[in-house]
Amino acid sequence: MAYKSQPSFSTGELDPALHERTNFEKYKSGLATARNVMIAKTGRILSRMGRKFFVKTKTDAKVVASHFMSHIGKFLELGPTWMRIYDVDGTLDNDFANSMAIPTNYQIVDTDDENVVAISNGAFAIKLATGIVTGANYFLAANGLAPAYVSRTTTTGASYGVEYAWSFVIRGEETFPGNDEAQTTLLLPVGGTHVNTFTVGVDDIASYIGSSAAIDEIKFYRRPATGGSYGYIGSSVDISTSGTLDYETTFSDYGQEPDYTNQFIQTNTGNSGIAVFVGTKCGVMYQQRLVLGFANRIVTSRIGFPRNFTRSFPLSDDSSLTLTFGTNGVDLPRYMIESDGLILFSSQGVYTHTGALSTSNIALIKRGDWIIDADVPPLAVPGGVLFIDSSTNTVRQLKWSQETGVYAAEELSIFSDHLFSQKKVKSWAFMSGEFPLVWVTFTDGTMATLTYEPSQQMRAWTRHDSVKKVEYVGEITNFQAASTFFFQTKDGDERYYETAALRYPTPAQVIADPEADKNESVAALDAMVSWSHLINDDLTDDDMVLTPVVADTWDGDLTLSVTDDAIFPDPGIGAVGTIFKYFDSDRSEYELTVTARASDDSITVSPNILFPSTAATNPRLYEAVTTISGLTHLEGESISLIGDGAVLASPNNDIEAYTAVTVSSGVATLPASGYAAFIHAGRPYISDVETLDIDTIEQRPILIESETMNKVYLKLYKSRAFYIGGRFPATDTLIGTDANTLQAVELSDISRLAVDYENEEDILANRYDQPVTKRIEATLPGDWQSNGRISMRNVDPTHFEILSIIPDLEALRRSDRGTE
Amino acid sequence: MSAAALAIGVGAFQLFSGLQQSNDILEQAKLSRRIGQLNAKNFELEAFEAEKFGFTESARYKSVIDKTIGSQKAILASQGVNVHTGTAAVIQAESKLTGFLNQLDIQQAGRNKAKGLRFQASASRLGQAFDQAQAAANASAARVSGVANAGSTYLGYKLRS
Repeated sequence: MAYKSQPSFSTGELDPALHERTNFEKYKSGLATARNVMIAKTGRILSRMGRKFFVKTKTDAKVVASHFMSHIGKFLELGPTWMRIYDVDGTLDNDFANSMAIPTNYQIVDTDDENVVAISNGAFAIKLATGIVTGANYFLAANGLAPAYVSRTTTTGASYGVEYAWSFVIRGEETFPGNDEAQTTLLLPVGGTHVNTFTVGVDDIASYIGSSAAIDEIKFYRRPATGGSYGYIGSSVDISTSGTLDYETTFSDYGQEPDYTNQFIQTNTGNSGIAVFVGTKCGVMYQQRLVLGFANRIVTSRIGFPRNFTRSFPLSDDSSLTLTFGTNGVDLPRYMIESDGLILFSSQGVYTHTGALSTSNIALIKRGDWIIDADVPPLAVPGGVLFIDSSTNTVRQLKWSQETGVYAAEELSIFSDHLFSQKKVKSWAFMSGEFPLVWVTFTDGTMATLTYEPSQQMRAWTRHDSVKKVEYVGEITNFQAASTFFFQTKDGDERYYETAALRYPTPAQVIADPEADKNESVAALDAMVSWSHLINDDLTDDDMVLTPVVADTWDGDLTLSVTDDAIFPDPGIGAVGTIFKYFDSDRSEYELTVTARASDDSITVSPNILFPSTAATNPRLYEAVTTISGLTHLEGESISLIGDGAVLASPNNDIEAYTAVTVSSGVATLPASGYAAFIHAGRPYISDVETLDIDTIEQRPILIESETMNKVYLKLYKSRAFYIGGRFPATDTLIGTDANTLQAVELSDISRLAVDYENEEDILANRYDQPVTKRIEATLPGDWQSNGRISMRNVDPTHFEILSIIPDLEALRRSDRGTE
Repeated sequence: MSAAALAIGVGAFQLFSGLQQSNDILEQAKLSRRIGQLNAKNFELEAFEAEKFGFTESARYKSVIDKTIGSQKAILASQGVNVHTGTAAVIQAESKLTGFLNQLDIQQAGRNKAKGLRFQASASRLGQAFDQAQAAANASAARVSGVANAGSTYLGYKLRS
C-alpha cells in the first residue's frame, strides 16, 4: 500500500503525446481528463460555472458581430440585415434594419458614447441612436456643416478679389466649414483704410453633427480669388445666439497678411468623402484616437475626436496622423490592440508603437515575424497579449522581456496541444474577477479555458463542451460584480446568448440577500432560467407581520397581514393553497400554506413546523410554485432542475433515477407535485476529472506494473456530491461499459462512500445538502487495469471543488512476479 | 518829374509791395497746408498699417497656441488622461486663454502704435491749420502795412508841399 499525493493541477489536461513523459515536471500536476472543469489560479479544480439564458437573437440567421459596449453597458447585435441594442438585463433598447448588406465578420471599435465603428475591409459607423450610418455622416473627413449665410458690407475702389472660408470650433474640435466661395468673394482694396466686415453663421447644428452643441469659435481664412491656399487671418469668439441664425458672428478683415502656414484644415489622407475609409482592415482606439489600418499604413483621428480625420496646418501633435509600416511589399494589417502601447499584427509580422503618439513619435517598429491567424483577434491579458500563430495554430503570448530587451512570443498551448488538433480557435475572451480565465471557442462548437498565472507557474488548459454548440465568446465587463461572458449558442436553427453565471455569490449579494446561497451560483446548468419571488418586494413599506391566531402558538395558524399594500389578491398569492417559504439563518426552510383569506391585506397561513417567533416581523417570504416558465429555448428537452438548492431532476443520473422533466410549451413542472421558491432550470453538462497514470511509487517506477487502488483520499472545498471510480463509462452516464474493455463500469456517489471523520457538518432537517469542505476517504472497488487512475464525474447540476487527490495504491510488480 | 508824381509813384509801389507780400504769405500758407494734409494722411495710413500688422502678428501667434495645445493633448492622451474633462480640460482652456490674451496684447500693441500715429496725424492737421491762420494774419498785416506806407508817403508829400 502506498500513497501518491497530487496537491496541484496546475498543468490542466496534459496532451496525450506527453503521457509517457513521466519525468516531466508538468506531469506531476497534470490530468488525463479535465472536462467542464476549471483550474483556479492556485491550482485546484472547480466545476465550471453555469450559463444563464440571456436573449434570443432577432432571427435564426448567423449574427455577424456581437459586442458588449462596456463604457455604456449596452449590448450590440449586428445581424446581416439588422442591428439591435440590448440593455444589460436583456431588454431590447433599439432595433434597426440595416440599409447595407453585411456579409462577413466585423471588428467592432467603441469610439464614444454615441457611436461605434465596424471594420471589415472598409469602415462604417454605427450610431447607437439611429443605427448604421451609410455615406458620409459619421467621419468628419466627409462631413461638415452646411454652407452658412453671409451678409457683408464692403468697400469699393481699386481692389482685388479674395475668398474667405471659415470653420467652426465645436467642443474644442475644428469642424469642416461652411465656406461657399461664390458667396464669400469680396473686394479688398489695395491699401487704404478699408475694412471688410461680414457676418457668418450656421443653423441647426444637430442635423449636421448629430447633436446640438455650442460653437466656441469661428476661424477665418482668406486667399486670393485667383486661387492658392487659404491662410488664417483671425478668429471670432464673440458668437451671438440671438441673430438670424442659431449661431452667428461678425468679423472684420483689416487686410492683414494671412498666415499661410496656418491653413484651412484638411483631411489627413488628402482625400474627402467616405471613400477615404474604403480598404480599412482593422481598427482600435489608442490614446483617444480612432486608429484605422490600411495596407502599409495606419491613419489616426485627432485626439479625443474619433470622427475627425483632419490635420492642422502647421501639423500639430493632435492632428490626424499617418504612420507607415512594412517596407517589403504589401503588408496588410490584420489586427491592432492596445497593450502598453499599440501592437499591430500584420501579414508580415508584429509592430509596436510606444510613447505619446505625436508628430515627433510616429515610428512603428517591427518586433517579430509571427503572423497572427487572420480570423482570431489578439487578446489582451494581464502581462501581455495572446494571439494565435497561424503557422502552428498555437497560442502564444507576446510580451516584453526585461532580461533580453526584446519581444518574445512564448507558446502557451504546448502542453495541451491536443485541444487544438483538427480544429481552429474561433473566438476568445478574458474573464477577470475571482476566477481569471481565458475562454476559447473552437470551430467544432467546443470550448477550452486557460488559467494563466505566471507567478504561480500556472498554465492550465481544460476543455469544455455542452449539449449545444457554442459559436462565440466575448467579454462583458462591468456587467455584474465579476466580469463574465456571453455565448452565442447554436441550437439547431435557433441562436441565443448566454451569460456566465457566478460561481459563487458576490460579497455584495451575500450582504444584500440572506438567501444568496440559493441563487444562480448554486446551479451547474447551461441555458439556465431562474425564478424566485420575494413577496416583501411587493410592499411599499416594511409592515408585514405574522401573528399567531392562538396566542404564543407558533406551530398553529398564523395571521399574515400588511397595511394597505393589498399584496394578497385572489387569484394571486392570496389564494387558499398558496405556499410561502421562509429560510432561517441556518438555511432551514419553513413552509406557510394559505388556509384562509380575509382581505387583500390579511390572510391566514399554516406553518409545516414550528415557526420561529423571532421572525414575526417582516419575515422574508418567498412564493413557492410548482412550475417554471420562460423555457421555450428548451422546448421538448429533458432538463435538470434545482429547487431551493436541492436537485429535483438530472436526466444523466442513472443511479438516482430522478423523475424526468420535459419542457412543454415553454413550461416545466416540478416532479412529484413538488414546489420551490428558488428554481433553476436548464441543460445539464458533464464534468469529468481523470488523473494520469501513476508513474512511481516510493521512488520505484511502476508505469508498466499492475496497480490497483483500494482507497482515495480527496480534499474537497465547498463541494456537493459527485461520482468516482476507476474508469468512466463510455457514455455520459454513471453506469455503463468501459469504451476499451467493454467491462461494466459503475461510478459511486462520493458522498455515500465517504467516511466523514473531520469537520462534520451539523445535521439539520429541512435544508438542501450543504456544500462541504473536508477530506473524504472513499473506498473503491479494486481494478488492476486502472493504472492508478481515478475518474470523477458529476452529472448533476451541482458544483464541486477538489483541492487534492491522494490515491492509496497497491502495485503488483513484474519483478516481484518473476521471483514468485 | 514833379515831386507829386514821385510821391504818388512811391506810394503806389508801397501799396503794391504790401499786397504782394500778403499774397506771398497766403501762397506759402497754402503750400504748408498741403504738406500738413499729406503728412496727416500718411500718419493715418501708417496707423492703419500698424493696426493691420497687429492683426497679422496676432493671426500668426494662433499657430503657436494650437501647437502648444496639440502637444499638451498628445502627452495627456498617452498617459491615459481624458483630454475633454477634468484638469486636463482646464489646462488646455488656460493655454487657450493665455494664448488669446497674448493675441489681444499683440493687437493692442498695434492699436497703440496706430493711436500714436493717428495723434500725429491730428497734430499735423492742427498745426497746419494754426499755420494757415497765422499766415492769413500775416498777409493781412502785410496788406495793411503796404496801404499805410503808401498813405504815409502821399501825406508827407502834401505836408511838404
